[in-house]
This record gives sequence, structure tokens and C-alpha cells, in this order.
Amino acid sequence: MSLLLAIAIFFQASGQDDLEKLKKKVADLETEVEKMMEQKLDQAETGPAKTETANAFNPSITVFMNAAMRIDSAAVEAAGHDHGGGGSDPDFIDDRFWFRGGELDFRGSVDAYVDAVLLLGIHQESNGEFGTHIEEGYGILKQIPILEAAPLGMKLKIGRYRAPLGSMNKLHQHDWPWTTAPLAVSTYLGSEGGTFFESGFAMEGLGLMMQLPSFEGTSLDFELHAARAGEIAVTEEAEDPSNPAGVGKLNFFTELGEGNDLSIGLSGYFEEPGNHVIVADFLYRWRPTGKFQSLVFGGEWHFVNRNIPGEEETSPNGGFLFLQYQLNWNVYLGARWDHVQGLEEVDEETDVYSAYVSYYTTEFFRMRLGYEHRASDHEEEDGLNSVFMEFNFVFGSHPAEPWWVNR
Amino acid sequence: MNMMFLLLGLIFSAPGTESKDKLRVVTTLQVYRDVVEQIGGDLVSVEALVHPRRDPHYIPANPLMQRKAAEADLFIETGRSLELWTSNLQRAWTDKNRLIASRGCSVKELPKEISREWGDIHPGGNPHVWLDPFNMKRIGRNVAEALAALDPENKMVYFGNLKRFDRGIDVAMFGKKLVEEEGGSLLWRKLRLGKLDAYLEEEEIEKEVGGWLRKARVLRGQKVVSYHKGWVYLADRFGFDIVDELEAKPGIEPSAQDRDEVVEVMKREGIKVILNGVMYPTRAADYVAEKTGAKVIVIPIDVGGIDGTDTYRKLIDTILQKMVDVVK
Repeated sequence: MSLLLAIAIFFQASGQDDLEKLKKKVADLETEVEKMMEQKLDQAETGPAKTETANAFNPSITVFMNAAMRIDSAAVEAAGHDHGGGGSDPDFIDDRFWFRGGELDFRGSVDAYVDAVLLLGIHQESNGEFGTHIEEGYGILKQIPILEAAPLGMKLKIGRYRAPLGSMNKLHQHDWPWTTAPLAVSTYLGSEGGTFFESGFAMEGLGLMMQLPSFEGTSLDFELHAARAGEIAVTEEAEDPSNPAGVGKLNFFTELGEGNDLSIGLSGYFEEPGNHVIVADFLYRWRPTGKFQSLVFGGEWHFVNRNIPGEEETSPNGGFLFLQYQLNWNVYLGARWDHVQGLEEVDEETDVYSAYVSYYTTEFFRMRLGYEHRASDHEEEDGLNSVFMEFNFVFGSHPAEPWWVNR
Repeated sequence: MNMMFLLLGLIFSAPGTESKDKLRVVTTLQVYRDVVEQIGGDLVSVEALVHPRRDPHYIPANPLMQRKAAEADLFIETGRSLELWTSNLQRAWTDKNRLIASRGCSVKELPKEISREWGDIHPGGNPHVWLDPFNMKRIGRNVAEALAALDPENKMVYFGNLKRFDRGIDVAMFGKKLVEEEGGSLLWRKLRLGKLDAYLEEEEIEKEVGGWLRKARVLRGQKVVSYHKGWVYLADRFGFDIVDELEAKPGIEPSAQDRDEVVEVMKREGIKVILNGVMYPTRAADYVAEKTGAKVIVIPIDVGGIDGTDTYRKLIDTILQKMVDVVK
């Protein structure tokens, strides 16, 4: 009897062992299944693998379009252009709607060391015709394979690009905080017909950009370029300009506390014999945290010497100051004062007082209403009042805005 | 001659070439600074570029940021088009000196189609990945791997610190006792597969749940409204439901009509909580709260966004506590 009991207990124990083993096996299997499910979840949650096609390496493309309407108190003649008419058939630009132009912005990495940018501009000129040209096209060599880190973070820029003169020359029409270009930029650096049209100096050449040692919390940037001479407004009438011209800029940047920063720059263009444009600029920005408000206060002053063989040497100067206050997410108010002396007739001075309100739906679309009053020694410009209505469109891949733009 | 020595001295004392004994790390967000500090310890010096009360989408990259990025041995950003402004830092990046922190993280709201018509959407999905603690563990691993690749001699230190970092998040998530008994890996797996509750019940250890999971129990199923689509990761992980956003389209300030539509939704659904990030004005949220009797909770998205959030764990803890205080 006791033997039978012992056998029964043995078989029961053995059955329990098997059951335990079986339970463990099921638990292990369950864990394995869960791990596989987790792996599948990982794959699903991290997103589908990108399809690598040749298109993936295409440059990012952004399209800019700008249109503006102007209403003027008197006839306005385009500055500096007669389009071969010998001055007898000037272009009048007042009281009409202008599709001022479009730009195609292509940018991307060439390889691990070089980035490239091409800006193709289609701009309306003062005679109403459209001209297509390369606004900018350049490569930036950020590093070379034999140097792990270039001294001073040095970079090489090659091609056609906006010269680092002041801070606003780098801005294209669609990025201006105003409807019209600053008078000093248009007069001394270059324009396609005056401040209402694309203005500024795009140089062709190459240069080095570097960051010099500076104090904690500051940045000291230096650029030095060699440019093809005779392209800037100051010397564009020279018959055989001496090559190359030199362009340089030293820029100091510091944060003055959270949300406050200041940039001070000194730049210059030098071309033989004795031509130069020296620009001093500053930009102060205030952006408090947690608010859609900001303030920008900046300005530039240009000191020019113009020495074209066969013409009288002149040394005009001029510049501008501007203030912009952001009221809320969408609305910006601003004002600018310009003053210039004539490039050839230094005694002929012009002052422009302007004010504007900009409304942004987003960073991609902007409307702007502006008013401008001119006081000038040029009789035809003196007392001119103009009202502008501007529309700006940005679509495409949306490159990051440059730091000196507050929208 | 003296000038030449001065110039050479300047060049070779320049930031890019100076001798160093610590890895220099620059991050976009403060949350990554915190991770690097925990995993890199004394072997790294780290600085974040973005103030924690600013919207990381809209940071104008200035020359000082450019200088810091140029000096860094490692630059860390979220990726997924959150910090577009880093493209202006103009540095030659390699896999070694730039880390996309969100690599390998679970991603939500991957758009099937893309158009600006729908606002400021991100082609790579919702980029606020760090607000899911599980993603934070992956970010920690990414950081440890990046530091070890730059400094292989100290690989063991970085991975030792990663283990502590991981355990810290596990304990913060599930409570110390449960992690000690069950292990973090198993708990995360069950949680992610939606089997944690059943498992805890089966093992009769529901009462041992601690940490954020315990704290956030009261939030489960709660319906809330948020200003921006910044909280989807947190909501999914802790089980609350973001029914609507004040921004009808991401990145576009709500109009009066948008606000009134949210008022209707909140009244219909009986929603009493509005989440508003510290970087956004509360004007729209205050208006809606006044019309519905809801409470506006101003919460940070980044470490240091408000007092008492100087680490990642304190950040999540503070966000949950603020929500729990209102919901209770």
C-alpha cells in the first residue's frame, strides 16, 4: 500500500516538474515573441527607410517673388539708366504696378567639404523689361581633407557673391526690411535703376573668411577678398579699371544678455587709383523670451573716395539709420532715415524719410505698406512723396533666414 | 618679425587648434546638454545654444553660435527639421562631429504628403521626440556612442555612465522597487506593447508601481487641448488625449476663429486643461480658458524652462505634477 502511495507521489511530482518546465517554456516563448514584436515596433516607429534615389542629392530650391505698387506725388525718373537712349528717353517709374522680380535659390552640399549656392534672378528693370542674371553663384570650401580643423575656422569663398560691405548689402530685395533699398547702398554700391529696384554690389572673386580669437561671449569675424574691379557703382564708369580690387570686413558680435545682441562692423572696398568705399555699420537686436515682440536698431555710414581718370576726384559720404519694432506675431512697424551726397556732385544732397508697416501671415508671405518723403538738391526729386504697397512670396524648401534679418 | 610671431601666436592659439583635455560639446537644446553632462561627466565640457524659454524652431544663428559650433568636437541637434537654423553655422560636418540626437527614436506624425498649406509641418515627423522618456534612453545611447567614437580610451566610462543614466530613467518611470524586481527592459517592453497593466495584475504587483507611471495614472484618458503640437510624445506615453490644438496649423498663430472653434470643442468634450508652452504667449489660451472655465498650464519643453527643471528627470516630473495638480 505504502509502495503504491510512493509511486503515485513520484509520478505526481514528476508531472508537476514537467508542468513547471512547460510553463517556463511558454514564458520564454512569450518573451521571445514580445521581443520580436518590440523589434517590429522599433522599425515601425522610427519611420520608413528613405528611398535613396539620385533626386535625393538635388539641391534644395526656394522661389522668391516680389511685387510692388507705387503712387507718387510727381513724375519719378529711374536713377542712372537710360538704356541706350542717350538720356533723351528716360524711364519713368511712378504711379504703376511692378512685378519687381523672382529669384530661384539653389543650395546644397557639393561634397563633405564644399557647399554651393546659386541664385538666379529675373528682375524687372526700370524700362519694364525683364533681365535674367546670376545674382550670386558661389562655393564655400569649409575644410580641406588634409586639415582636421582649419586655423581660425578659415573658409574659402569663390564665385559671384554679395560683397561684405556693411550689413545690408548682403540682403536681396525679397529680404529687405523695407520696400526700397537704402539710398547709400543704391548710390555707392550699385543699382539697376534706383532704390526701387534690386540694389547692392555683387562682386566676382574669391576670399577668405575666418574667426579671430576674441573674448568669451564675443565673436570677431574677418573677411578678405579679391574682386574684379569696376563693378561697384563708384567706379563702374572707369574705362580700364585696375584689377584686382580688395574687399575686407572686420565684424564684432556680442551678446549683451539674454535676448540682446550687438554687432559692429568696419568694411572697405579699395581699387586703384585711390578709389574706396569704407563702411561702418552697427545692428542692435532685442528679442525677449516668451513674447512675439522684438526691436532692431541699425545703421550704416559709407565714406567714399572716387577717383576716375579724367574726372574730378570726389569724396562723398552717406548712410542710413533704421528702427523696427515688432508689435506681435504678424505686425512690424519701422522707420528709416537716409542721407547721401552725390557721387559726382558732392554738393547735391538727398534725404529720405520713410515709415512702413509689414504684415506677415507666416515667414513665407508678407505685405507691406510704406510711405517715403524726399528732400533733395535735385529739383525733380525734392518734395517727392511716395506710397508703396509690396507683396513678397517665398515657396519651396525654406532656407534658414540669415541672423541679421528679423523676418 | 615681431608682427609675424604675433600672427603665428594668434593662429595657433585660435579656438580651432588649442590643446584640450576635455571634449567640447555644443548642443542646440538644454535637454541634450543635461544628457551629455550625465554621460560625459568630467570628461566633457558642454554648452547649449538655445535658451530654454525660446522656440527652437525660430533661432537666428549668429556669429557667436557659429564660433561655438566651429570650436566644438561634437555638435548635437535634434534633427527632423526642428533646428533649420543650424544650416547657417557653416561647418564641415562629419558623422563624428555631428550627432542627430533623434536618430533611432520613435517618431510620430510622419506626414504622408507635404504642403506649406498645412502650416509648419516637418517632413521627418514631429520633432519633439525627447518628451518621451523611452526616446530619451535612445538619445542617451546615441550620445554615449558619439562620445566613445571621439574618445575611445574612455569608452568604458561613457557606457558605465549610460547604464546609470538608463537606470535613472527606468526608476523615474516605474519606481525603484518594480525596476529592482522586474528589470527595466521587461517593463519598457510590456509598456510599449500595451501589456504592462495585464502583466502587473497577473503578477499581483500593481501596487509596486511608482515613479512617473504612478503619478500619471490620474491623467490616463484625460482630454486636454494644447497650444502647439509639442506634447504628442508625452501624451502617448502617459495616456492622456490631446483632442485639439489652439494653433489650427502648426507654427501659425491662432486666429479669433480658431480660438472660437477650440472653445466649441472644449465645451462639447468637457475639457478643462490647456497646455501652453513657456515660449508661447498665453493670450489665446487665456481667452479660451475664460470662455470654458478651463485651466491654463504653462509648461516648459526644455530643461531649465522654468524653475526646478534643471535636469531631464525634473523636467518630466514637473510637467506631470503640474498636470496632476490641475486634474485632481
